[in-house]
Amino acid sequence: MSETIAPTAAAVPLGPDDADIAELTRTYRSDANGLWAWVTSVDHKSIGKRYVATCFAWFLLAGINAVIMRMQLARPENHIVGPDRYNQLFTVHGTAMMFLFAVPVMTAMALYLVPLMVGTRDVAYPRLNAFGYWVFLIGGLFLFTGLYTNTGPDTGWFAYTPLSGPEYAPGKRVDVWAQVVTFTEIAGLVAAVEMIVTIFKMRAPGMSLNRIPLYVWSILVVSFMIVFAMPSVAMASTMMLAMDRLVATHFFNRAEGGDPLLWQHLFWFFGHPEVYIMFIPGLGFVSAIVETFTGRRIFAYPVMVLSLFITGFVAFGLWVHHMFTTPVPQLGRTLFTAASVLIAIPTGTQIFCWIATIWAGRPRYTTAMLFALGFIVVFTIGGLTGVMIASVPFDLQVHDTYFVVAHFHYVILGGVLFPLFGACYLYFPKITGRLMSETLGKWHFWLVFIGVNVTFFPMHQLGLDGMPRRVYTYLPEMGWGKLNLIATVGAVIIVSGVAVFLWNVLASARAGAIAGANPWGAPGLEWATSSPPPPWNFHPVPVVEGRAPLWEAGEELPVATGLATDKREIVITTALDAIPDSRHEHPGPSHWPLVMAIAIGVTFIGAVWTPWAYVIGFAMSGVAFAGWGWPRGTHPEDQVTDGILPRAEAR
Amino acid sequence: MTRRLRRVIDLRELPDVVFGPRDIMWWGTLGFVLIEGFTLVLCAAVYVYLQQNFSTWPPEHTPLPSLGAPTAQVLVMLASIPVVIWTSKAARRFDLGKVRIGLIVATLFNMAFVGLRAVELLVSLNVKWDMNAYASAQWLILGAHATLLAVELVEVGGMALIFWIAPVEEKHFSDVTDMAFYWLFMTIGWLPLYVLCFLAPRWI
Repeated sequence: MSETIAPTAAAVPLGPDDADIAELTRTYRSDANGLWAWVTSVDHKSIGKRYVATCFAWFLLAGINAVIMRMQLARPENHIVGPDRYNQLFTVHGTAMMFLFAVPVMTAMALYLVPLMVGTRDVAYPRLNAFGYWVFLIGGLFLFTGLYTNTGPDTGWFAYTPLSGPEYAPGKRVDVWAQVVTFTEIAGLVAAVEMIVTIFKMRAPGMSLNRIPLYVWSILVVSFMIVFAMPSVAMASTMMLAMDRLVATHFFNRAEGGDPLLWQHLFWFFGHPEVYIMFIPGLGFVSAIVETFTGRRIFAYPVMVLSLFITGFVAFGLWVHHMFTTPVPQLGRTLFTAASVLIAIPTGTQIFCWIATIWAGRPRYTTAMLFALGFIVVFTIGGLTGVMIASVPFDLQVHDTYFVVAHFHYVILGGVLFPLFGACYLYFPKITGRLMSETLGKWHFWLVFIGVNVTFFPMHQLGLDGMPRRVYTYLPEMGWGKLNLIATVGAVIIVSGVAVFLWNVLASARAGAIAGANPWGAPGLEWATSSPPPPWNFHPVPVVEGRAPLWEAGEELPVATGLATDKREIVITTALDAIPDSRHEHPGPSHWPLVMAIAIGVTFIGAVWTPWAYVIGFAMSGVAFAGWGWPRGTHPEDQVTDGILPRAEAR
Repeated sequence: MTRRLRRVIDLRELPDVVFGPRDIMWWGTLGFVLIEGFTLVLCAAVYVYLQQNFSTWPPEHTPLPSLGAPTAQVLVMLASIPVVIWTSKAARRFDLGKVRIGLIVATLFNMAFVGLRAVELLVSLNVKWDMNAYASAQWLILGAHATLLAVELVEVGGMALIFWIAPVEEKHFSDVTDMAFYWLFMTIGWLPLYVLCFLAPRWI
């Protein structure tokens, strides 16, 4: 589709323009210094980095919960923690891993990478991006503050009613959970909108739909899934569960015509797509890794894209398979079983495409590539047990046992953690300008790969032996001791692997080998700029003439010139063919996103205690809104007065 | 970068003020319309789901909602639409005077929406949220949509203030057309919910 871009200027070689770079440096420099410059930054790279770091902080804290639980279960009748503390530990572990790590860390990586991959200078709404991060940070702080003050949620990460309702869960623990969910959903939704608009309207000229990198496709699909999945849980937690507890509405109160099962429907209408929201970006990472380290374009690109779309659609037709032990009509069970089996097909198709790519390419077994291969093994095991529990009779036997715990840890660690670690090795040089140690990386991979299997594979057998999930201890006569001990040993191995990773990150950031712009010889636009990229990412803007721009460009990179350097200008392109259509000025640094996030924080944290918090918070948000949007008159040349258009002639 | 750069496109002549789907702010508005619209669909689904728990709707000993203020609300919303479309068209022509008038009228309409919504909740429904699941569902739908009305009042009121007293730039006219797009969603989107909350209880 290269004919869709009509060259408007002669193709002439361009030299480096120092004057342009100097002016861009002035344009993108913050007036503030130090911490305040960091706080007010709206650069997607700065936001993306702090977002990823924050997600990993929650990952480590939630991981500590997991280690304590494994220690507790290492032998029968253990008393490291009691049942009340154990309930909080597993609830916060699950809540944090799902709402504060697995989904948002993928979002955070996308916020950093997608603008670079599509060849633009930032995300669509930089200030909204900063706002999303601050809201997310407040939500995470609130959850762990709750845990460490003995107000941690304790009804499981899906907070089933009536257990989580006012009758069976007095106190504020569940309210903390409900509002944490609200914070994370707000952050997730604004990021999704940013990604959709960035991908549809800000791609580099020439990057038509059939040239979009597979990782970017995966983020587009996931962003649409977030738009339709997250409102369900946000509504159910903020407007229904919290209200049942705070002002005595009756959504889930059977005595007044409510229905506890309604919660399960609303939660899993979000919760099952959530699984795919987590790992579809992982599929995108695996495509990027396999393509880079085999030196070959991904086999059957259209099939890969269609597989992502089919997965995204079918993911919304599976939620009832979490509810097979509830009175669901027989026909419904059959339908949801069929859909649950069906969804294995597009994912399986992608796995075959990766294998074909590796087969036909010249694979380099770097750490990133090892994690991609580890993903294929671990995730496939999780997928196969998923097909098993899609069968109603089997599910009835293993429901709420450790078999299910094993299944979803294989899926999530395989589908999220392995691709994420692989992506860290792939993109660390781009983010920091330095390479990570491959030696430490391989230790990291093997420790995590062995640790995951030693920890979670025995849990399949524990589940088949009847061990229920969420018990804080068990009797010696049950015979579960040995397998639990093995699982705990595996957890220690995983922890050592993560420790090696952290050491590798810190050491490499300080003293890793200098990377250069494209250390892996990768094909994407993100490798066309320096490592780390300048605040404006690209100058001039790259033009795309194929699906693997850098492999096809040869010695000359086609570019588009003419964007202003004295303001933060980006090019807007058409949604389908990415034909340049207009220029748009992005805003500069601002503290108002933080102020708005604090207003939202006051609203939802206050709402744990009083509904008046909504009134106060709305007023505060109004003030923040005014500060955010009020024009500063920074462009007097564009001002319209009494019907006089300053640039009418030009138009 | 060691590669040579080959210029193939010059972006200098592209416009920097555009309207509708050419503008990324329109796309952002569309994103939030999708999110909020789907939330309202889910609220309606909750309402229908809970209705199945009762043999009559509203449940026994629960009064029907009154129709006066809710019907007036619908009529006022419908009346506002031509005004907002007129304002949007004026914005596309960069007609500052007409846009200023249109935004003031729209703000007054929006204030009427919020006032009427308060009457709908406190008077017309004839039930408090904690009476039973029916009452909770009614408050859920009206409350969720009320947040749209309140946020839009802040937006359109703020926009009117900007156009009257702040330095207005050409790009702000594009924002007015996006506001009009959201307005159509907010008002037309209410019509099926009006039917569900105020008319359906009379039919079921």
